[in-house]
Amino acid sequence: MIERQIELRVNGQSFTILVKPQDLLVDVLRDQLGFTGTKKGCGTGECGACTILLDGKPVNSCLMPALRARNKDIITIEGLGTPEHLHPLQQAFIENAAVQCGFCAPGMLLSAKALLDANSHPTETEIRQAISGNLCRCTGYAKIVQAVKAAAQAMTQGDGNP
Amino acid sequence: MPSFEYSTPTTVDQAIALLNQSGASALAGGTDLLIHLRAGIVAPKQLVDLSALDLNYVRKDDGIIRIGAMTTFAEILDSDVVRRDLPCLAESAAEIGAVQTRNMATLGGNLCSAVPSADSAPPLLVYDARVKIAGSDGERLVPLEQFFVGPKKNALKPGELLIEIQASVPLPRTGARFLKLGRRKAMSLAVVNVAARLTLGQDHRRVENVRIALGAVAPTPRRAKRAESVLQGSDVSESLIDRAARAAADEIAPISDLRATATFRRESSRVLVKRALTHAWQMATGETKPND
Amino acid sequence: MTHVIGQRIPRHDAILQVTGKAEYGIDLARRGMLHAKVLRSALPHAKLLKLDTTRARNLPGVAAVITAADVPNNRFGFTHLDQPLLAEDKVRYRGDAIAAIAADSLKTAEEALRLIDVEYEPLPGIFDPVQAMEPDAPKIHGESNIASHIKIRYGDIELGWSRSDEIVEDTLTTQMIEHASIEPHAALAEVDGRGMVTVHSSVQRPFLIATDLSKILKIPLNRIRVVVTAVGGGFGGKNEITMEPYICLLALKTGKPVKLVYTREEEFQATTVRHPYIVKYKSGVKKDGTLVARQARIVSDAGAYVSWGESTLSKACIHGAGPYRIPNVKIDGYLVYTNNSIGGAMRGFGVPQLGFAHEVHTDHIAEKLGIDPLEFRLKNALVDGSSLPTGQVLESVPLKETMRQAVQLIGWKKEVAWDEKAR
Repeated sequence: MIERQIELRVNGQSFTILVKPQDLLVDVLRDQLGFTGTKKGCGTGECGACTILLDGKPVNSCLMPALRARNKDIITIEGLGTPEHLHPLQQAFIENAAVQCGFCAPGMLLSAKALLDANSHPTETEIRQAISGNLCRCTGYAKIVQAVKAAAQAMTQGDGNP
Repeated sequence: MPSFEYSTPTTVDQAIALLNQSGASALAGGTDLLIHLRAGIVAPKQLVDLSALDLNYVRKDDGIIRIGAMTTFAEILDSDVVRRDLPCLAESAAEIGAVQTRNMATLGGNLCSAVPSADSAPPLLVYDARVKIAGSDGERLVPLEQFFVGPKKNALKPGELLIEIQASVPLPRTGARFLKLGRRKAMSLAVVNVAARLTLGQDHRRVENVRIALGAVAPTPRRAKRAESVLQGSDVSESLIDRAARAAADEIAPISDLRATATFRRESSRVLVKRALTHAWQMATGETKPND
Repeated sequence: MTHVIGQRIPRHDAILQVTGKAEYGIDLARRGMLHAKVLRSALPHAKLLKLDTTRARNLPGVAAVITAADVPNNRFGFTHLDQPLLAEDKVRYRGDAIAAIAADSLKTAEEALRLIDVEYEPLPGIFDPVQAMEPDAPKIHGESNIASHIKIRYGDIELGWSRSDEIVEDTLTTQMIEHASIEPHAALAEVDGRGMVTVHSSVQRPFLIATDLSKILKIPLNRIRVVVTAVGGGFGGKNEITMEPYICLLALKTGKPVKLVYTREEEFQATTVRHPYIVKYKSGVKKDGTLVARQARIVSDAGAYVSWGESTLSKACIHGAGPYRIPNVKIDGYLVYTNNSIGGAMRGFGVPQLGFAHEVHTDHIAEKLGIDPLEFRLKNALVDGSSLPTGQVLESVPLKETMRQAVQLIGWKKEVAWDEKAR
């Protein structure tokens, strides 16, 4: 199979790489580019651990040929924040104990980011719907919902809204 | 993952030419196809990626709503036209997979999968939707009802492509509702899904037109025509809705599988048809608005 | 003095988890590492007539293929040494490992799997543990399918029956459950110039795994190191040895680091599950609601090998009478081989199955006597100084207080709205 040279834009940085048609975005991100924060839990779009943002929208990178991500902006967990400069969501997940084994956290955080980008004051139902494609086997979700609420509050403090 | 060639045509003609080659398979949202590829259920030589075709739109002209086959369920949910004129379709879009799935999966893909549980099928059946199919011999318009020919079998001939879904803007005094029963609230295939549409006469009582459609209870998504005939032309009432719901439960042919038994599906169908018709009635009389 | 109770103390590793920097088993990588795959039985019960790995070995990119003959000590298990690392003369469940491959890419390893020639002679399978206990049932190991029989006798059960006003019997069954941690099992093995074996693995019990590895590989324990990665969920499913011996053997054979990640399908098929139980209860009770006798017969579906089956069943038997004061108890636990997936450790270790069973049974008794189920429980609940059927005397039992608080919190007996019309 012929490899093709493509450009992927990940977390604001451009990478020129060779991919085969059957290479999945999740594998290219993890194995070729080293963004191992993107997890792989099922390979069938069920668990959401591989969630990334594609032009701002959450998608399952395990169901996407890498070729499809050409000319799109990809955000992985590494692009959300760093240990030195945490995103308010990351801060809230830590403070609210929304993380146990942590394996679902990268995907969960990116789904939550997409929600807050579109809706700065989500209700509990909206939060639960937004993360319904991300399975967590440890927490029971209560702390995750609480953390997303806390982050929404922290992010909108001072914008005049309650 | 097996190897395959990959092409990204930019026109429908190019796509059809590619799909006419042996072993070619169309790639829409990929949420089914990629799983089947990985599991070895299908092994195409070539994937024809439809994402660069101009098939991503919701338009309304001359009372016809046209939805491009590559429109994602997230886009359908966001569409003012769909939410206002085809609320039942928006309700089904909200029930498909989860956010990630809806950002990838397309309306055309869901219909072409032709699975008995396809959530977008019952709403489009109750809106009397047509599908526009393009092939090397030109285009044809097929009523959606004739598009589903068996479990996972659609009416596309080799090399044909579904390009557009059409539905007429419903008449005034129309109410419609989609209801889905799954094993959980997200990421689940329907145990039963139901759509119902009622259009009332000027007296707000007489049923001018009614459609009831169900999924996951027969080899294909299907209408419940005997149930429809219970209501058609009569004055709508609670007891008549009850009778229609029983008729629907009688005329379907559910199976027992991993998700539910046939008995449970039949009884759930009755309850869901009753609820959907009741909602549709309230909406048609102006008691409730779409998406209430 | 630092006070921690009542404080919010963040997990020390949470900062790595939320930034994607925690290194899980699946994230392990070494320059030049090989990728492993395991060939698993396509049949639940069969004789292995032929196993030929020649074509797989000859595939370019394949570094090594191992079969039973390559394993220094091909038997492991906790209480029963009944499990071969790689199948010898027969396979006992659909998922039994037959061979393992290391190749330069995952794709090559997958391709090589398909080039291993296996010929089976199908044997009748047995999937119901009750049927498996019949004398004429097909045998999975040796002479009997009953791998273990655990007995607890307390008081005099016959006396108990004779003093009972009512006898209530129930049979309760629980299903097989997969742990389904979001991270699949994943590990990487490497061997250094001194022959020191290091395994990085997403596991819950590294020392047990090191001990097992030492026995299987016949390498002294001090030459084996097991390093635990960040673990993406375990729930008991990463409590035992799984893939580590394969990758150690392949690493020893090739001198290269070898990584293996199970697919989600393998997780369901070839790692352990929670044992399905069939529990038969018979209880004798006085009209006033005093429990006087209880008999329990627990049948645990071990699957093809014992693994943690006897240990979990022992715990289930200890808890078999439920949290009640009953003077006459007879408990029999049977661990039975079938051709199903192997049962192992999972949260609660055999007890949740029993908890479900004895509480449904308890409700049933209360209903038969016409006594409020809460009152019935409070009347018979264990208290400080109560003795379990094992003879263990309990020192502090806040069971009654817990029940009283729980019923308040859940709004016990409050009316629940029910829309009859919507049906």
